[in-house]
Amino acid sequence: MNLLIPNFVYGLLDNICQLGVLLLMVPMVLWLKEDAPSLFVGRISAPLWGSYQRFVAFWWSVIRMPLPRGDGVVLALVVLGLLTLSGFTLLGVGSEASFTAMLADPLFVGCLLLSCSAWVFPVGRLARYGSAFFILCLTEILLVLAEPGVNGLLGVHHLLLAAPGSSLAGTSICCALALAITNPMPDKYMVADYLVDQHVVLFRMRRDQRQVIVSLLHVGWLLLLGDLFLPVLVGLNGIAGVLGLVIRFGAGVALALGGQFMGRHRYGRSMALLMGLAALMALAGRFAA
Amino acid sequence: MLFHEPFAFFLLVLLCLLLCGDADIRTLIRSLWRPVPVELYRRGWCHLLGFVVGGLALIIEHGESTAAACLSSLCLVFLGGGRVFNPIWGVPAVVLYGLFPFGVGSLALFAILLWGAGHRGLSSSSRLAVLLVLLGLSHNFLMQHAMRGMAEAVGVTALCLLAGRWRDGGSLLHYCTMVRPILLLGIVAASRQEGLDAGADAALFAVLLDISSQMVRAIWAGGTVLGAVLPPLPGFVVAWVGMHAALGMTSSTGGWTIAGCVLAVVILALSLGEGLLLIYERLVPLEKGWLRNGALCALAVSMPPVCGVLMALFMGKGDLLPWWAWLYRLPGGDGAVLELPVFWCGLCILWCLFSFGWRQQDDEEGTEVNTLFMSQSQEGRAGEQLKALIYARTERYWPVEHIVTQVQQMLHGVYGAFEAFMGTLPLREPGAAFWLVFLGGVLVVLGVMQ
Repeated sequence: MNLLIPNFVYGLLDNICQLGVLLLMVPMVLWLKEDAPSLFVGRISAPLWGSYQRFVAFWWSVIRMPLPRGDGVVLALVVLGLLTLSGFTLLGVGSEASFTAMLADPLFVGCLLLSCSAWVFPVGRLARYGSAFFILCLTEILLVLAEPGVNGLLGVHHLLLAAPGSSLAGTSICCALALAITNPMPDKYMVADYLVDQHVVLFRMRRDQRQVIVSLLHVGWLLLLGDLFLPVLVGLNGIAGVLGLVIRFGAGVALALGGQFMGRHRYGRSMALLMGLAALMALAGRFAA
Repeated sequence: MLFHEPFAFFLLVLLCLLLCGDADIRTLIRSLWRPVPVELYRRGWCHLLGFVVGGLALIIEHGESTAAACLSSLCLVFLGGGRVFNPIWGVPAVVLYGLFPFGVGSLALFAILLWGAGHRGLSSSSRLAVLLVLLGLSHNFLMQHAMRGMAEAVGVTALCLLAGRWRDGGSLLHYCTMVRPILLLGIVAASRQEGLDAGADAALFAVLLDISSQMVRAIWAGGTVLGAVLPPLPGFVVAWVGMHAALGMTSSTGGWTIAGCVLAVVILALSLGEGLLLIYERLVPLEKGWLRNGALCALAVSMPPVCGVLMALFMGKGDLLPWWAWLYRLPGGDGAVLELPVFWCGLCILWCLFSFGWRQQDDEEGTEVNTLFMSQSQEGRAGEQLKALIYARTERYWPVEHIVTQVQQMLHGVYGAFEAFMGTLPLREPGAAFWLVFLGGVLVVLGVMQ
């Protein structure tokens, strides 16, 4: 009991540090995802600094003029989802993971992001949200099928450290690829059109804020992809944890950009193939054990 | 059965709460001092009688199965106001249940109650009352033949839907909400037969949470959101815990490997269907109104821990875990744990930070700068900014472009060579061949790893 309070305070400090690292990293990821691709087709892109400026302006506006209730809930959920998915400890309190990292369950966080996105952009994407939900469910089921008793992404990390090269990694990678093909998050321009045309939000500032929230949703989805793609790097401590976060972000951005360049909408059928492959790997691992 | 008596008692308590909160019965009580239409008055009496008879059926069930069956069918007649239950073919079913409570009779019971409850004329509270009676009556049977009971429930539901109930979209939702608790109760029985205590605990927790959230929704229309599959809400917790309880059977026993997976998918699909239909019908997530939002938040936060404590009491392990353990962990039954109340705490803190800062929010007034009434100096500053924007150097030279173009040309060349090479191969569908080779490669890697 006398260790409970210091552990709690350490955990809280740890979460605040994580939040700082994440907030530093998010504009860069956004720049990589949205602006940098134009470099590769030979056009001029917006500078990286502009992304940081926009982000700072957003938080400044939130502090000056608090968000409406719905937007506030969505922003809080997204920030919590990012904290949950980041899953590293900076201060390194023993071998314990941070509070939020214990929640990193693919189905839980995926549904969180999906429902936020459905609230922000509710029109005409039922099929996409449904298929993404279905794949998230299968991901969870197959992970448990591959290794009984696995507890979220941290559990996958621990099991992979204990038995490297098990079929768990293959299952998780296949699921990440299938999720990257679905990509249920709405496009930036679609959201802008929706907000203006339907008169959902009347004021310019609110619309801008909502755009930033949507881009945060995108970042959360990228991090989910990266986590599932490289589950070994989830639960690290200290500087290694930050490096792991950078690498996972990179993997997520690479998956998303790869899907975008290859025209992922043409590969709807390969989603089923990937899920079948994941099931095969999970069953193989299960019966080999 | 260890927890049968407390469980039946819990069902009775829920029935009484429903009785107190039912809209028609409230109308009946109001008729004591204020005139109400005859139709409503009659329906109120019918509901009152139906609830009482259903409660009697639950009490009697332990000894006399025949009497319980008669009472439950009477309850259906009353709850539907005489229009729901068709007694002609109900009579042989009741007789069958009385004669063989563990054989064909259970099928007959499922058939009567599920068919009656899917009727459109039934209100949601009376439907929930029927579900409670059904759970109480089929409980003994489910505990002994779990697999058969679940299969029968799903089969009867499918038959009901095929027999014409699919025409109104609402009945699909009603069947989703009715089949899920039965399946979860079946999981409790099956995990107990296999000796998995954790799985049985989790599934019973899911049953309790499911029924109580349905009760809240039946009494209070504003609480409909609680049943949606949105993550921190009880609807999601039910789906998550139920899925993990089914997966616990998958991972720990040999016979349930595939059936457990199928069950998990079915439970998730039922929850998703229910959530979608809820959204389709009437879901207003965040209305204004402090009282409503606060009550919703309090219910959503407190229901899982309360149900957890109740579950520990029913299972007879109240002293094993302290009650505050439910504040930071919800076990899923197969080793997975969700720390939901902690998440709620973080959510509330962040929400207060973002939405209720130290300054008043004013959505009603325009917050933009009105350009018509700018002062002279402001206008001058704006003009300077505009000039700076116009004369800003927009062209920027990136040496990357040349490299990128060269690489693109190189890649085109390589691709052309690859196409030419593929043209020489005796292949009709290179795509299929690619996937075959890919699959084979993965299998080889798997074989090497094992």
